[in-house]
Amino acid sequence: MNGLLSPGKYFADGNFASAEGAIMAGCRFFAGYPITPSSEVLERMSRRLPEIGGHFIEMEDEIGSMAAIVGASNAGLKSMTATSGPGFSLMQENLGLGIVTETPTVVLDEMRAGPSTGIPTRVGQGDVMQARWGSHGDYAPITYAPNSVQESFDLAIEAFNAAEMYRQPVIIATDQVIGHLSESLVVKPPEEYTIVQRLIRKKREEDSKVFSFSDDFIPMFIPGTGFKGNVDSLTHDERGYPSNEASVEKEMLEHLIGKIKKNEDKIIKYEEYEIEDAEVVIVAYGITSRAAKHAVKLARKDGRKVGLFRPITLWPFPEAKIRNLGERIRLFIVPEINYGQYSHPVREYGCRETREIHFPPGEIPDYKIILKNIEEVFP
Amino acid sequence: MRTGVRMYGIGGQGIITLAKLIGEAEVEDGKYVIMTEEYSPYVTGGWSKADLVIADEDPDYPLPEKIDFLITLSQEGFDTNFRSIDDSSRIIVEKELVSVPENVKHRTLEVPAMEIAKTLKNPRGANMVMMGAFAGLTKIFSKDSAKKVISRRFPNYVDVNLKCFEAGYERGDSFGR
Repeated sequence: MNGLLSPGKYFADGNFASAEGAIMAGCRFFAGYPITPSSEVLERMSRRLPEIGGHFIEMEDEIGSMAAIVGASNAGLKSMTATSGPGFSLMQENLGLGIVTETPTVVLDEMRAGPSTGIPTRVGQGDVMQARWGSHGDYAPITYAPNSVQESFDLAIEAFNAAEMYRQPVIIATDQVIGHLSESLVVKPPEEYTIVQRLIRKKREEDSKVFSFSDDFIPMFIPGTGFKGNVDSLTHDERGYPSNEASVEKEMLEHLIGKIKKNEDKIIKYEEYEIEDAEVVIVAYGITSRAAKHAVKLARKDGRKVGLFRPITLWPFPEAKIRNLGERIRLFIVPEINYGQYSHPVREYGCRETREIHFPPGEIPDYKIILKNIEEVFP
Repeated sequence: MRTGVRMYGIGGQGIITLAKLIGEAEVEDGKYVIMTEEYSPYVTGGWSKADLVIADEDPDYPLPEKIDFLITLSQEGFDTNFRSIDDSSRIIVEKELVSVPENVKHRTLEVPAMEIAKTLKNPRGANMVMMGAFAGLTKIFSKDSAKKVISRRFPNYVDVNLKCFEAGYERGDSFGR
């Protein structure tokens, strides 16, 4: 048909789903440097994009990859890269460039065991805080954490939509297990998906603004189509001109952070399971949430009032939701494949005792360990 | 009900393909399946392993809690797994590559998959023989679905692969009776 994945039911892995979801969302430019466990995303893009009139570049490294997708987006294409921890570290500087130039693009980080090159083929969840704070300076990132092959597809589309709506790089923080496990994937006809198309400025306006700090989403212009404007990494005013003034910095930052803050209710997504009467709530994301859900099901059979809160967007942090839960439950349990990252904001905003479970990177979390922790906190 | 299947072999034998095709056939039949895979850093010659969880409802947790069936095309696959599976579990091995102790033989289906594949002029089809043997023994997915997914996967080599599948199916079916 139109080069998009045919509607139907597939038995596929997360990397396949991420790539095809991105294409469905309109991604037509991919720049990347192969890295386990995300290489299959790049590999698939290298075959699929040329088929449908898109562009694929294997770059010299991840610094260049991130720069290329920011550039391609500014030239008018929906763009993306895929990487894992070591590459994600290298991308942080230009991720900030994407933030400050308000460039829509998508970065998929498939988390593996770290630090440094760690264990390339094995799972980790150690990049969660890096997704929040990795680049220097202040900003408000949007980060999705799929926990299935289906979500890898669906959230790829959402990530592109959010990138276009809020004009900034959006991160998909998936993990090695989700990327490589196969399960069923249902793909709907293209017309049933909501795809946010970019607003592009056609006519040159008199004030020649490149950015708008008052209304959030002014259409982007494409260089070479009659517009002249400055897109700058330095602190800039609405015309894009650099400034050394703290007042301009304030105005720009309040816009960059404010555009996300104001729309949190639309951006934040989560799943709640058995939460209504829960005394203890597990907060888990990605592959760990599936072990947690299994443990909750088993614990419920024994009459233990435990529920699961699964952030689908890790960032912005679901502050209000966690605060409300904290007011009425007696304990949070936060299992993660790291030594305690997401547990910090849970404790900070939940204002409630928070028990951490640290799964060492390298293995799929054992639900029995989560179950044992649940049993320990119920007398 | 969750059924756990472990497949094990040497890189190059088509273990991952075998697992994917069984998974696809189950999905065709409307089941829930989760497949996880692992392999050593070599591409050819190292170990290769895949686990399937097959269930009637969403299994959530991706690992099998119990290995109900072990399918192995390497001695290592047998040695490293058979102690950790219980007495009710069934085992399918490639006869030439895996030697099985006497006391396990009654629940082990030994399939000369490589020899059958060679005779059928499809020397790389041992994994399809094993797929057939598993289907014949368990009837856990339909023959129709199996044929559909094999044809889809190897559009240029449908017949030779279906022959391998059928030959394996007979072995499994008669052992299962």
